[in-house]
Amino acid sequence: MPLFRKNTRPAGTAQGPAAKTAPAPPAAPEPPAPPVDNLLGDPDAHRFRSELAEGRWQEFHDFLQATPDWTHRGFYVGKLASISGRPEWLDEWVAARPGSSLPYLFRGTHAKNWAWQARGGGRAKTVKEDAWPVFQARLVDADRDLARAAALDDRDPTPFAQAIWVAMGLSLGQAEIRRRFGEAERRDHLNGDANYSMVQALARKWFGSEREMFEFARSVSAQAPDGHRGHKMIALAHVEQWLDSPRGDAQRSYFLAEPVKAEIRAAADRSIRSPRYAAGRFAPIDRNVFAMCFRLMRDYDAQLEQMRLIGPLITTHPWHYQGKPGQAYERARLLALQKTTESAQGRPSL
Amino acid sequence: MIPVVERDRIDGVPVLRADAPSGRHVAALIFRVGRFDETLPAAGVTHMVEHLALADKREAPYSFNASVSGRFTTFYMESGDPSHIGDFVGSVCRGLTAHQGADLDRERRILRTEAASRGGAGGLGTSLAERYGATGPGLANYQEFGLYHLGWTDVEAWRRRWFTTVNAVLWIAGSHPAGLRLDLPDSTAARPLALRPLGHRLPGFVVAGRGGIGMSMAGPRSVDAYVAVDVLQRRLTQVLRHEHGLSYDVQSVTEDLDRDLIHAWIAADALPEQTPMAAHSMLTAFEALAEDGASQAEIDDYGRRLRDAYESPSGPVRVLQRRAHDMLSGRPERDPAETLRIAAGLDAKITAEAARALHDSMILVTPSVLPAVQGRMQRLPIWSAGAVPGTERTSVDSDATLITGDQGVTLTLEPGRLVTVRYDSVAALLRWNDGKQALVGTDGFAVQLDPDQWPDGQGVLDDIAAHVRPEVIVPVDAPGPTRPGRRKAAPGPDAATGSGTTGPTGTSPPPDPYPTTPPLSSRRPGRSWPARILRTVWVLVLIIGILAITGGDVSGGLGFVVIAVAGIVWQEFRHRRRRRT
Repeated sequence: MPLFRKNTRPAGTAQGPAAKTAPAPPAAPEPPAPPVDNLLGDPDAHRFRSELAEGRWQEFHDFLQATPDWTHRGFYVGKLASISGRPEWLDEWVAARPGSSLPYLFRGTHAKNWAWQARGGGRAKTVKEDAWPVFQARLVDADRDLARAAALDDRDPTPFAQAIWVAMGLSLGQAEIRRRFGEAERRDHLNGDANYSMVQALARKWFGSEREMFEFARSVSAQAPDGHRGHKMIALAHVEQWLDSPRGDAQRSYFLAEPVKAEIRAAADRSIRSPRYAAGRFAPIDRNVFAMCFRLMRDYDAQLEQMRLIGPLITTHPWHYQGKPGQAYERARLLALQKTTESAQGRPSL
Repeated sequence: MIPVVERDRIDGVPVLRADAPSGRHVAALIFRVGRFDETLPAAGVTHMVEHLALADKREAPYSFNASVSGRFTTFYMESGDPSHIGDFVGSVCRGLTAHQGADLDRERRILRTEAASRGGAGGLGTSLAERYGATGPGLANYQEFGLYHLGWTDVEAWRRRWFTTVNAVLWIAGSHPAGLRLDLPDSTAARPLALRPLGHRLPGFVVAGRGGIGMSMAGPRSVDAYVAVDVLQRRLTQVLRHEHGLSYDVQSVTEDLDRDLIHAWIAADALPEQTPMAAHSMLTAFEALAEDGASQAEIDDYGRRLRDAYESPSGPVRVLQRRAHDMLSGRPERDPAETLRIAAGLDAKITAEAARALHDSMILVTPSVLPAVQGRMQRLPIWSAGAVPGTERTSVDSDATLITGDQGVTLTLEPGRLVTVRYDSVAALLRWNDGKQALVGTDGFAVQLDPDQWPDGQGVLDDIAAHVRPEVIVPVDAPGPTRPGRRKAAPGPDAATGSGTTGPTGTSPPPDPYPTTPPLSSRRPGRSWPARILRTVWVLVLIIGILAITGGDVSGGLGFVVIAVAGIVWQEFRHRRRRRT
């Protein structure tokens, strides 16, 4: 006798218990993903990305030199230095402008981004063994260039804001991370890139703890005037804490806790919802963060309000924490629409 | 004023003299022989000669001592009475020529006690062993195995070879005593063994010790190199201590490797949590020096401090000591004024070149794998590159295998983790009194064998002993260490060497070359109980699948087999990954 009875049921006969119930509805198809634009629709950024792809850096250099605002400069450098591989024109640029901090800043930022490409964005245990030396070697290169950039321009906070990531990757310790942050802060009080880097660095997954991360975020918020982008650090800290929560109920319910909701709403009121809010072209970066927080808080009206203001300027961060960013954004949007419609029709919201 | 050196020759021995402004009289009788001239089986024989020479001189109305460094053995004294110099030198010469076989066992015990209380050679010893294996300067990292077995004949032969008129210089800072005699045997000059560097690709790093970071560098002896080392040490002190508060102390030691080559060691202490940043700061500072060189202010400062040192009360000792070393090494003697002139002529470019050469010769010793180090250089090999052909045996109590053949021995702890020692490059075969033995290669790799670990263990060990030259066999009258997993010692923290001439009697502190930790074969992660249960489940599923197939349920059975095989492969993959990490 066979140990297991072979499936001798003829085709077309009853399919067992499952056949007595209604078939499960087919899984909803993924909504078409809207495009993500980390360059925030900035025409200069788009143009320079194309030029740099062709190895033409000269005009970009002049443009950066004529951009005195650190946040703007940091944006162009940070976004456009995310290039796969290491193009030769980076060295050409450095050689051609030896007295300028800009090529060092750009090459250093690129090396930092390139290092993270080798490592990947996951936790340390997910990194392949042979990726570590590559990651570390690129960070060492980045650190040299960023240090040179900082020495050549003692007003620019961006080299130190970027160098915080290098210190994290090279495990240089919290004292050094705080020193680098202090240098950035000294050069530009409440610098957004430096503050964001510090929230990451002080998260438990790196060198800090929940207490240190929130202390920092709240301290930034306390120093920031009404309408300042710095209040976003509160939301970012909660996103980090949410990611750090155990998967399952703890993570699902994190943003539903009243104290969390209240703190994020207060931060939104002081930044993106403040009449004094004047983030200009960078507003979509902040609104995407708050929109996802509102989604996780199930505050669909607030979420949709931000999404309307975001328009087509969807950013990778923070939606990438929920899958492909465009799809995650669209899923969230459709869900919010559905829930608000149900609510308007008097059906209970889950 | 820079000391003026007078030259004389007494009983065939060169004598150097300079006035001593302190009014005290200092003298040193130096021989050009030290730890680096020995072999592993004879390691410690110079130290034994040094001890025996002063064995009968228990008290004197002046202070005296002796030391053995890498290339020099120095007997020195200090007194307010110049006639004491004659007494001391006479005592040393008598001690170096008298028959002292009766004192041998007593001194052997004293020396072993001294070694035990001294501790390991630290990162410095490790770095030298990484450069030279178990030969020459690498011996600084090993125990004085010669103390276990050398007899009076061996000691006397060593003494006759090196402690002779042609290999000695006496210097005196103070007055020349009347009636001074140097009654040493004549001999032809002994030829030192050539250095045998291992030829690693450098810079590279090695993990050893419990804390702190050490930089080992080797390069041609030159004023440029000394300036580069000095500037680097001062910059590191500035960065690590004064700017970042990462270190308490940054130490620097230089020593002759041979006639024209020096070794420089710069070590910084650091708390474990600050070690990554300390290493990063050290390497960043070194790279900056290699890139841009020393500033003119730093070069000028070096020259000023050097002049101060020459003109200080200890200046004559410094000048005489340097001059004696030059003479004994067969180098052109350099006048202090000439050194100052060369230093004054240096610039950023020259010092950058010197720093770059040192940087490119660097072996960095760190307590663990540090990201900022691994991002800059490769780790030096910790396993042999290949195995010898021969008969393979599996250990009776682990997965380790042993291959013995006509060419040598290979111990494999895990796939890819093997240690090979070839019979044509054996530094020593150590045989402990509990039956264990260790075959040490000249490259520093060592295979330690316990007869209880292998089928026909005693036969295997006897076969190995039959393949090596009798003169490299070292019987050790002590039980052997716990089985080592691999060869390279993990010495203590950043201890400075015993080199130099002002330290207490002793050689460079050598540690046991074998770690006392259990072998990797027993340290590696084993399977946990849940893993064993899971493995059993997979096997059961596999059996069920096979039974199902044989019973006629091919599709169902195949499903079970596929699941079971996939599970076993997955679990094995995870297990191997854990072992690797």
